[in-house]
Amino acid sequence: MIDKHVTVIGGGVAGLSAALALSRFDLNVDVIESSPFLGGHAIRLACKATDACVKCGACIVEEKLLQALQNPRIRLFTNARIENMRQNQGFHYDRWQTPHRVDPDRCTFCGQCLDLCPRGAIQTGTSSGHKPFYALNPQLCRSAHDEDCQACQHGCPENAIRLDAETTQEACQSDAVILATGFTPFDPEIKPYGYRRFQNVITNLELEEKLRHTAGPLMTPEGKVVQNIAFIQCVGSRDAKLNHLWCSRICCGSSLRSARLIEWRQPDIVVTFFYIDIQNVGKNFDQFYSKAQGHFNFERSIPADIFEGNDGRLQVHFADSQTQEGKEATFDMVVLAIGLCPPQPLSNQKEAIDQRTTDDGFIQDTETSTGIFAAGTATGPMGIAESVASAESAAWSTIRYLHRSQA
Amino acid sequence: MSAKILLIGNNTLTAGIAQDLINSDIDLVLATPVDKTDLSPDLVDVARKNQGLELLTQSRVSACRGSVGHFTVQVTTGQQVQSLEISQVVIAEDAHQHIDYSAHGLHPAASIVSLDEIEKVISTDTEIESIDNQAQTLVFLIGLKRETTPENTRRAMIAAQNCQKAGKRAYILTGNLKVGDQGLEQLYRQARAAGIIFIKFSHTHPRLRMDKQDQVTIEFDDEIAGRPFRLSPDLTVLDEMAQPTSYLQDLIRIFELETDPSGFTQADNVHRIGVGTNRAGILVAGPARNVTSQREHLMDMHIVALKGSMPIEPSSPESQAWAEIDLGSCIRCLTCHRLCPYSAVEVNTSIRIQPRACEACGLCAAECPREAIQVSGIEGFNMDARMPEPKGPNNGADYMPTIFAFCCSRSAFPAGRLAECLNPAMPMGLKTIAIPCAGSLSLNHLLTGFRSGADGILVLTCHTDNCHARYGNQRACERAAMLQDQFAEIGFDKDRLQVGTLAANMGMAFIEIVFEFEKRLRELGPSGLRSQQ
Repeated sequence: MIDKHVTVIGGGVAGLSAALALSRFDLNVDVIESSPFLGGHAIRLACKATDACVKCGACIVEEKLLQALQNPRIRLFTNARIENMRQNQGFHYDRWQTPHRVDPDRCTFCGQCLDLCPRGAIQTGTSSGHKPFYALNPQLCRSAHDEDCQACQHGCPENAIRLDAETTQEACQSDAVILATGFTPFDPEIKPYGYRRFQNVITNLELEEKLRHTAGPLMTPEGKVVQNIAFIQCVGSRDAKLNHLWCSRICCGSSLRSARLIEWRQPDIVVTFFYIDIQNVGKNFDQFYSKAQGHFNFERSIPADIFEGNDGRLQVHFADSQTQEGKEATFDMVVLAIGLCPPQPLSNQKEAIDQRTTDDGFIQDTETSTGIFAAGTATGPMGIAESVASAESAAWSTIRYLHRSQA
Repeated sequence: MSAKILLIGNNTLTAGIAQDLINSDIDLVLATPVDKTDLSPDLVDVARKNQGLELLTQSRVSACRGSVGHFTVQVTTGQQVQSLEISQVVIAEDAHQHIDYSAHGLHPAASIVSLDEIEKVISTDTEIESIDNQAQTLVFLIGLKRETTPENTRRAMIAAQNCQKAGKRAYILTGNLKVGDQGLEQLYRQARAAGIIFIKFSHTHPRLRMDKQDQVTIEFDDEIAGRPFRLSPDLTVLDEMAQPTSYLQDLIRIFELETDPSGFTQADNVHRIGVGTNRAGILVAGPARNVTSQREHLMDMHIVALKGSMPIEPSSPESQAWAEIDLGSCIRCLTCHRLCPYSAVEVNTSIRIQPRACEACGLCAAECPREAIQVSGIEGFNMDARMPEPKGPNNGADYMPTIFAFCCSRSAFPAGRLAECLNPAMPMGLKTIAIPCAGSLSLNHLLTGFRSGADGILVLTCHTDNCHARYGNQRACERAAMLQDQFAEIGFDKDRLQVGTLAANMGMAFIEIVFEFEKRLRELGPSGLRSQQ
């Protein structure tokens, strides 16, 4: 199928997997990623192996990215967006790309710019496939907002930073589109758990980043070793008040596997789970779960609220699942297992891209004859392995569509 | 080379796969042990629509030789045996649904039915009446003694709602309600609104009894109300658990497939996600790999069609590597044949490694007692030629240990690259060497490393159960341990050889391992082998 071209919107694990599958059929693929880094949310997750692999799939994301980077049929655009998409014998759109202000060939990852930036606008990558490894967040950068700050550019010993690089626009066309725009993490600030007010209340995504940053025990920001940790499941999922009538599916796995890793690193830690129903994790869940039940406290109760004591420890109020009486427990750290919410709708192309959604607001992944397909968590909560499968499935639908339109 | 696909199965998924492959102009032969009259209606439909479809009923696969692109599969139909030339195999066989009466202290009786049986009587609205009219109260026991699946939970909730519609009273007793699939939380809310009573158990269990008339009595303390309750259902519905059928077990043996802990066709290894197995050209779908939901079946169907119509040859042949046996040195010990995790070593009158099935892990090359196997296509796989030059002072105050880190190209090597981004000041004496799999390192490689000037060698491999080559990491650990024992005997410090496990995203852990190792080598001083050269 020579000379056909597919645009994949979103460079997470689903987008990359779809592109790789399509490339095997000699199709040319452009992947458009809005952030500076490819790999989506999943590439920031930790490997949660203890003495053996726990099959979280985090390493698969890395593998997909490295394969995509080497694939001559795949072009990867980061810091990019599409606008003004129209359908007329194929798809036509403008691709806007904000350049990376950091030159990957010059940057030596010395990290001086991190200290120089007054706004903390320099972000670092998480994968060896992230080029450049340092990137500038235009939302935070003063220079991007017409302010006269050039601290990083002046201070960079390698002259790798160019703040004046211009945004470019290019007219593009393609024969099919795959929406792999991923999920929006639930923002737990509206829940009564003190997120952003209490520094020891963190999300499971933040916990994963902490876990991959060190191989030692888990520490609070004050430098204390965490001895007592709680996980609150279903924050922003299975929540009728929010009208979030879905299970986010990955959080039980993330929390249970993270807890096992923490316990493996510091065996005397006390772990408590607040939950509604524990969902299956991996292929051998019975064994995995009975092991966890022997090690952790399981409270079938969703806490009402959290307060911070004078010592910085967190008091969690909940209904005891055995007596149904109000109870209070104190933890050094509380992890909120936040839900996966529908992706942000693409702006500026409502007319052309028919983004039919499910009742929950995710993109419907049913077969389309329009040439627009969807893959990964944009279509509903799912884990890494299923995102890959969903992407390959969407790639097949795309190939069939291209065959039909060729005939 | 034949381009024919052999499809094994007899269900809706098999029919879907068949139609999808036919639509893609792929030559197909379908084989199932069942009789024509027992064919799935969907399959009958596909056969009617596609008159040319080669459909072998009452036919079992009895043997298989060869590898992807040219399997020779023996199919037995009654007394007749035929050989088929096949390019790829797809297994979509059903699983056996096991009902565990004894786990609940029950035995088979008219008052107890399975999820499947209740579904059959209530599958259509008109048939609801055919449920035993005496049966007024139904209790579903789902995921109580064992964890269940979201699919069984979905089925129970739909069946319970249908019972409720027919004027029955339905209870669902469960441990963890498995709502981890699309639409299930909504279905749960609907079911509750329809009046179905859900009772969940977390730290207590219901007590089940069966009297002489097979009447089931269920007693429990409700965990929320804290009060004792008793149910005497007219009909008790039990959860099912999927198990591989004996035919599926035969297929696993015939096709030399790795299995998961429950004995299904796909190992519990992240490198086998999707419909892949340890063997190139053998795909497994749906119940054969123990996935149950319709959504997953649809995805499997698409992925099988995708992989089935993918060109088997990679688009750039020069990038492909594989192992080759020098038949002049080979003594036919068959070590490689027994060891190959991908069953890529074919033994006929001659012995040969099939390039398309070979994943170039190098396990065979490392283990071959005659060193008769080379992995071609990997630049300089010959390790002697790849040993880097040691750099930095060999002794004194500025002593900088030379470290060779042999890194698995899938895990530790990218971790090492990430480490360089995170901490540009890695030890000066560190040399990172990518290898296809840690299992490809022979004792000779390690010894050559020390001879070439390494003060210490790190073997960095994948975590247990994460090796693409199944047990390459384990082989590497065993080999290193063996060498460490020998070092201890000859008085060479065994700390100079260390094994670590890493994933591709563990840059920080890579840094910690390397610095820790360098510290130890500084304590030990130069190995002394370099100066003797």
